[in-house]
Amino acid sequence: MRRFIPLFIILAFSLWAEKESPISKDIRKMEFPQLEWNLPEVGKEIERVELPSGAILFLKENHTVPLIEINIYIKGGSSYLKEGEKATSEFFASMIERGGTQNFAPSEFTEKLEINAISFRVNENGYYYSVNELTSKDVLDTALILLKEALFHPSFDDQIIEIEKKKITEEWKKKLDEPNSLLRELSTYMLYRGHPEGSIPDLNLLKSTNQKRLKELKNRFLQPSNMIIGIVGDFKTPKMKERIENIFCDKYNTGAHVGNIPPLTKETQKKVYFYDMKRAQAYFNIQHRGEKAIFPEMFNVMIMNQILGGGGFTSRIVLKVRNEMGLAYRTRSSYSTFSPISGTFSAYCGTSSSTAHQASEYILKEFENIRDKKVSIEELKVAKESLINSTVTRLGNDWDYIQRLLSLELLGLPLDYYLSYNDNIEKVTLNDVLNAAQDFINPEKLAIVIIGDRDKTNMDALREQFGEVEFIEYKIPGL
Amino acid sequence: MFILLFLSIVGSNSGLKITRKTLENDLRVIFIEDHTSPIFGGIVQFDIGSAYERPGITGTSHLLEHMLFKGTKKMGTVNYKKEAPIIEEIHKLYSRLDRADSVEREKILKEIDNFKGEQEKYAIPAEIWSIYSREGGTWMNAFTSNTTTQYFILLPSNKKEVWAKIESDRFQNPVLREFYSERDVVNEERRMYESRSGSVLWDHLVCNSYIASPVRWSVIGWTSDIMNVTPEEVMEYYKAYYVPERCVIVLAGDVDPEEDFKMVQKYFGKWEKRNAPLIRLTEEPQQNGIRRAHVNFKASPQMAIGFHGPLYGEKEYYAARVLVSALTTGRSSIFEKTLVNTGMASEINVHVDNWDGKAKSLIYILTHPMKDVSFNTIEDKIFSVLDSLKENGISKKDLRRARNNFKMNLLRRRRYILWFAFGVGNGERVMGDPEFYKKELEMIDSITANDVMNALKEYINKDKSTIVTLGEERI
Repeated sequence: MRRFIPLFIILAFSLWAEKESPISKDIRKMEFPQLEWNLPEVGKEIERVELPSGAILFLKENHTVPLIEINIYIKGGSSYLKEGEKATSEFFASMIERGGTQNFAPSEFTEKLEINAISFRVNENGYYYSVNELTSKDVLDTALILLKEALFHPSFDDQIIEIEKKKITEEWKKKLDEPNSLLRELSTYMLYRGHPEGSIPDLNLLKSTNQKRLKELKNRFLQPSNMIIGIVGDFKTPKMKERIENIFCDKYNTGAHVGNIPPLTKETQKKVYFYDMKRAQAYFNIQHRGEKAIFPEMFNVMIMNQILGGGGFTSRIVLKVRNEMGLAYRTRSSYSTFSPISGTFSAYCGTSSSTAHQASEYILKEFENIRDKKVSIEELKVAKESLINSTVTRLGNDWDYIQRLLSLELLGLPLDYYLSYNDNIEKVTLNDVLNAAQDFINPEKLAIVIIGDRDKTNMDALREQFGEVEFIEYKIPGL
Repeated sequence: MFILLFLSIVGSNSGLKITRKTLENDLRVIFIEDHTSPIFGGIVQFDIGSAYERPGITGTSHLLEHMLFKGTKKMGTVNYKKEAPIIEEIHKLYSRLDRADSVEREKILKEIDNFKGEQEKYAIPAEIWSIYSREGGTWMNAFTSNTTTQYFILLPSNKKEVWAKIESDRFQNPVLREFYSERDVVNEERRMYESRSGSVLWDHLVCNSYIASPVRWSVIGWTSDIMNVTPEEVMEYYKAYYVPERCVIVLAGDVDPEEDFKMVQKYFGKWEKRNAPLIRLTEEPQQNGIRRAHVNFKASPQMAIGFHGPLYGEKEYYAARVLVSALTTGRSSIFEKTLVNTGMASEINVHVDNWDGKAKSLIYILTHPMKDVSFNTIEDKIFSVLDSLKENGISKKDLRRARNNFKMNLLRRRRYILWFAFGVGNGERVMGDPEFYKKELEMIDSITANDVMNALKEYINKDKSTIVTLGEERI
């Protein structure tokens, strides 16, 4: 077990802020009792076992409420499929969730779930499917039977196939209506064009997907050896382990090859990618591909992003674009590194079309600043303290923490990642932050993907910032 | 069975003890003890929201919520005495802007920039956020609704005094610094909602469903009000309504009611009781006849149907909740079977908004008709399903499913102390009982199929409905 000591005890008093209010000074002088808390460790409070079938199981008892939550991450998804099969992959997930099983017709399956207030969700997340089942302890038997049925004996009912295809088609239509969901799709498309991850869903492929294809996907992905299971709640570990081992057993391994994610295609060039939509606000992402999870630089990148635009109201982009200029309600930067495909660096903003060029200019300026000059001691200190001192409020909930462990396992990252997190954050220096900004933000690659009103946008200014303007469309075949 | 089990879990047997205390200034403090993790959620709830505004200052509750992150005389500044005259000069200059011609305007803007530059020497932007962040705070935020404004955070439990020091100062000594840029931020927030079809549909549903009740205008306010409200008006609003007797504090998690109450007394005890002015919220008259509206918006067609429902807290309200759940919760619900599974709608949801009992509740249906299904067709189908339900009644299965799901939702929230604490605080603020959720559970359990049918017949009638459609054209 590790004890987390609040950072302010470690840091020298000489680092105090240049500008500080009387209340902040008072708070600095306060003495706080040491927090008695330990992050649960795998191998101690959390049991991790590899089942004979190859499934990985994490178990964490928590007896505060008589609930049990089962999360399963299954390697698979649209990144493993052909280009355009994104909607097909979503369809597969929804058919596991509600397509019925060999022993329960779809209506019987959902009624059994809902009469017992068991929630059961299956989602497609690009490179993995996630299954979530939350149940009251007293109906656990039913919940486990239904889970086993859905994963290993799905029937993919013909009538539900038709209903779900129509629903997914409508869902995509709705996505195109809402600028923020459309921006997400467009941004991914521009980052990974030509790769399954960034491909536009082809609804003709969805229409032609039949029960046979669904069974192929089931045989390929729904194998215990391809699953990571995390269970939290009101149970006894030995008994639960036995039950899960019986369900996720070797006979369900089909031997089918799960496959690999294809290598990335060439990145799109620096440009303005403009999608014309007449709404009250414009939305944009300034972005490029980033590195996958890398150690130890990712901690430097994390701190750099915290200061740049990921740390909420105290980060530079938010202070400038929102606080000082009043140009946006939502703006931020993010540098995601947790992905088997590629990391992503992006800065998001929602502002009027007429001010989009101003907001993007301020954001670019902040990129330049953080690459040109070391951040201040105070900025580094606040960023470190924020991440370290919030360990208990961010990770102190078992129900959430177990899902973080599943992600680490899925990505092949060390399971002690969060245990060594604070030490790694503490090590970050002013030079590390500067180097991270210079190494991981590349102005020559930054493109802007923007959804806005073409008539109200200052194209010349955007062109000056990012180069050529390309008007883009997002046409979904078969819609 | 389920209810007994549930009550024993969320009640005192689980170690989750709820204690209510009151300061001399009538500030109510609720403690919820849960010592499983060394964290605590601090919530400050005010019984004030947009329904308490008037035309001309709509959106003020929400703007004030934003402004209360801007600091005080001792926070967000290194020297308020020196900063105050600069803030005053900026206010004066902005008040001259409206009447200025273009030449004068440019001059004033330049002066404002100079003063802002001067203010930078003293102001510390986002300092509340910065202090909370460095002390390990997460989930820090606030929200405003029609009837309440709430500020919340999750902190390590050894930082309770940090919370008390900041919150007590924030609500007793606010300074409206950076007022004008924040007004622009709020206006951008408004634009964000205007860009979303769902928000636009909701706004039109509410303002057509209520013609008299002040819940009819949106929480964010009208653009002209947001952009013209003055710091003086916002301050006046703050002084009138941010008073201890309209406030409930909830401290949930690793808390000690005895010790922590002393801390609350120390920091909030001097908060002056000011007797907020009597607010008479206009009562919505009975609706006589169907109301219709269409919003031209380039998006897939959507429809909303609203009905005035029972007041929050009445038994009929819980019958309506069970009805709503039977209609729409889950894939075996009545509407899912009759509209989604038949290919008429891609989605249909039914909700009840209770306005904290300050207005008749709104029972509303939201649906996305499938391609080629006209608004008239889906409307007819919805009412035919409801008519058939009136004739045939609700099944025992539907009733049981609705009850179990209602209870399960509460239990789910119990896993996250902050979310559970919101409900407890609302119970105190609205009904004067922090354990009102237990009564609600009993109420839900006592609802019979007959109660549900009575609610259905009483409230869900086409000739008393408001129907709003949204799309490129009314199909």
